[in-house]
Amino acid sequence: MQLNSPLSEVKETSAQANRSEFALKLQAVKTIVWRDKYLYFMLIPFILWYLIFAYKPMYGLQIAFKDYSLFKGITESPWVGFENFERFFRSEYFIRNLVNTFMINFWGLIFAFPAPIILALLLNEVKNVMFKKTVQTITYLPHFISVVIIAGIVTNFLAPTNGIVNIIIEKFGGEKINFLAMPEFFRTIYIGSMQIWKDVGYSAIIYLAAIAGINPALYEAAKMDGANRWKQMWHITLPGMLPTIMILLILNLGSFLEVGYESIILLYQPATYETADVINTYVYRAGLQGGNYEVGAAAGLFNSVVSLILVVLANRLSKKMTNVGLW
Amino acid sequence: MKKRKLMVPLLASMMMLASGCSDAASTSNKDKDSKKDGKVEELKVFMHASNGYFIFNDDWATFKEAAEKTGIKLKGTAPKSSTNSTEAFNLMIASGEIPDLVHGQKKYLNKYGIEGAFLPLNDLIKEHAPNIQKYVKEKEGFLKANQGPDGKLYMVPYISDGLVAETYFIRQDWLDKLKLQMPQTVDEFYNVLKAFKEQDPNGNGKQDEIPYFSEDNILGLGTLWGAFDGLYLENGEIKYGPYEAEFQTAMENLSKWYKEGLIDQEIFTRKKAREYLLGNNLGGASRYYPGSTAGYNDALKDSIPGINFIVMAPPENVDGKRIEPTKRSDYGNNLGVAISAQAEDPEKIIKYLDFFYSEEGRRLMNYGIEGETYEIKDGNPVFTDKVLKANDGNIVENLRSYGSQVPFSFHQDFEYEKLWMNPIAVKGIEEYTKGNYFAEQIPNLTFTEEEEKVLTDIGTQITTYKDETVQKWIMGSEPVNLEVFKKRLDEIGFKEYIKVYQDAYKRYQDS
Repeated sequence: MQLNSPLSEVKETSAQANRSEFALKLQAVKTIVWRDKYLYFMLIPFILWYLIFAYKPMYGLQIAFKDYSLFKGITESPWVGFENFERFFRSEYFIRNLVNTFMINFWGLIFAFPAPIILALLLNEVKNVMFKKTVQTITYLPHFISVVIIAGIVTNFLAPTNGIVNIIIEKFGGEKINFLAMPEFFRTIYIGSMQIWKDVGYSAIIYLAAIAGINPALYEAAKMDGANRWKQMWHITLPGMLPTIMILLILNLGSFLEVGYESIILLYQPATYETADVINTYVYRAGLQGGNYEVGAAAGLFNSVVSLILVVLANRLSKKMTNVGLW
Repeated sequence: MKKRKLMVPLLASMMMLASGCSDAASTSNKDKDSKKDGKVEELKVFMHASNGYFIFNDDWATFKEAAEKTGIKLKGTAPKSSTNSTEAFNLMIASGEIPDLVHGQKKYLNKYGIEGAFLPLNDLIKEHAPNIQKYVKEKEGFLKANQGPDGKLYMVPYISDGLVAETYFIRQDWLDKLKLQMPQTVDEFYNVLKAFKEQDPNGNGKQDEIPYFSEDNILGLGTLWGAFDGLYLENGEIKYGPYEAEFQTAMENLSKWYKEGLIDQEIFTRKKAREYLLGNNLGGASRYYPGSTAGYNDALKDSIPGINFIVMAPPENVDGKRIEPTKRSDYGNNLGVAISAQAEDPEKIIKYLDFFYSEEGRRLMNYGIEGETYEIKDGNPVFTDKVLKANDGNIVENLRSYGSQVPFSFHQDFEYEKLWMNPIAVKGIEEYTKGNYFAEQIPNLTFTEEEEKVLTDIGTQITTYKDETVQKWIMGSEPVNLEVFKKRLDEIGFKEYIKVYQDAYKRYQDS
């Protein structure tokens, strides 16, 4: 609608009547840009940010196909085709690492993803403001603790000789368990400590904001219809949060191959490789420590491609099912 | 026009942000120029070692002293904020601006030296560095241990002195209390550990003693059954310990020891084992570096009366041999200083490095500054209280604050350690040296690029599999089965892996 008026202005003021269609359109765009100049002006820093930090580094991606030497630089290093990818796939442990990566993220999705949603719903039902704020602060704090310290706390709590968990187990007549040395416990420990305990409070904030945005009239109407608290939550709060949940889920799937390998390195050890060794930790041991950046870049590119596919699929699915999507 | 006027200040402010780093660099350049007084020339040095423990400090007194002697002053360029030396080194290389002197690990200095980042030093040393040339000519193995795979020397190495790396330790006071003899064989050692476990030597009425613990890993004990954890030399051939038959026996026994509680149940997860287990009067025997470990006797003498944690000789193994698997290398600790190919006057730099190989320079790096950190008494250096007493008597730390005993390119003097080490450690080191318990050591080998790839690709798989399996065996979650283990190693490509080492060793011997 607004588009029409500048266009007609252009037509009138134009001296040459036989301008091509293209030039006309260009002129129109210019006019529109000029009209919204302040908005575009505000956009500049973000475009620059993307150019500098997202697009320019893509130039460096080519080292995934090169025999990269830091000293020779990116352009001078010789091309080697897919050799770096082959080296990465050929490992006996590639499949195991891939499965481990998926499993950690899969169980994370089952247990860690709903945790902040549940916390937000519970907090929403709390009537005592003091209690609510206290709980929120306490659950929110661990987010700011470094993973190194969290790993230290976990190791101390689970230590077989004097860890509090094992002392409790022993007091109840059980046998002490060396949790951190048993592969079957690793995923639980990792997801429990690094994903749920550390981040549940922080992630709940977004959901609380989504809940706050729900129209109170809906609740009033529901009460008039005789819906109890449970029904209100189920039929109003949850559907109101659904768009937020879906978007976070899609974003989450986008990082399905990315596992915080720093936190895994802090918690794993050879005895638990069976379930704990993921693609990133293996690549870290195999090359990054020694400056083999090209294999790291190949692994990163592989991760990105898989992530892209997953995000596109998840987005399509979400759009079909809930009409909510990233694009 | 209006738009442009607005744009300019905004863009300018963004540019300022983006160029913040280079701004800082240019001011430091100005700084440098003003300091130049014509007599002392300033060169740039990169030194970032042990993940930030050693970062070149412009205030180090020994290097100021060296500046007076040589007319060259060094200015450090390594970032003090970084806690990862490899990363800091790689960033420096990738920046393309390589400082005049670069301290680093041998493998990286050689790698980038061959690519042209650093100068080959052989001729420079021959012509301008008589003190270093003395090592090249007179010390057999000096070149072999430090040169690159192309046969050229790219760095002047840091050479540590003394042969002993790790030793066995045992609580002599616990032995006395339980009226036990110093264990001489592996069976006696087992019995002693068993007694530590069962007879409550710390006297608190609980069986909470941890007979054997370790600061790094358990497998230093493998040699008690003649087995090695990794690669080792036997009769001039490189072998892989876990691939040999002895490994089965060793693992079975260690698994048994672990199950019986003779080995720390948290050996794989515990951090700072000595501090906790010695400090709480729980640990009985261990293996570690004697200098620092013997120091716990002094630190704990008030809280644990009578503590006497002493060096013991390796018990005779099942074949009747006493073997200590670790040993310090003779020439070079894999660290050294290289000269940048961009350096304006390499001649001057090699002369500067030569100073640290002279008698005077060596003393400076070992003992610090005369009259300040040491005095000469009866012709021998003796440390002053500034080194011995300050900072709770942490002598190495004190010396390093002066810039001495940092792993720059110089030859360490073992006598310096004897001056401050706990007598227990000195005695133990002498015993180990005299007994020559050391297993033959594999020299620093160099690999071609192809070999490097095999080591990365197959080597990582082998280590992953070995580490994983060994821990499972020892903790008893899987029965020891060397046949299956070896078959799996073969599938991964063990033959190719070991051949790389054998070839590299052959090249080393022929060079």
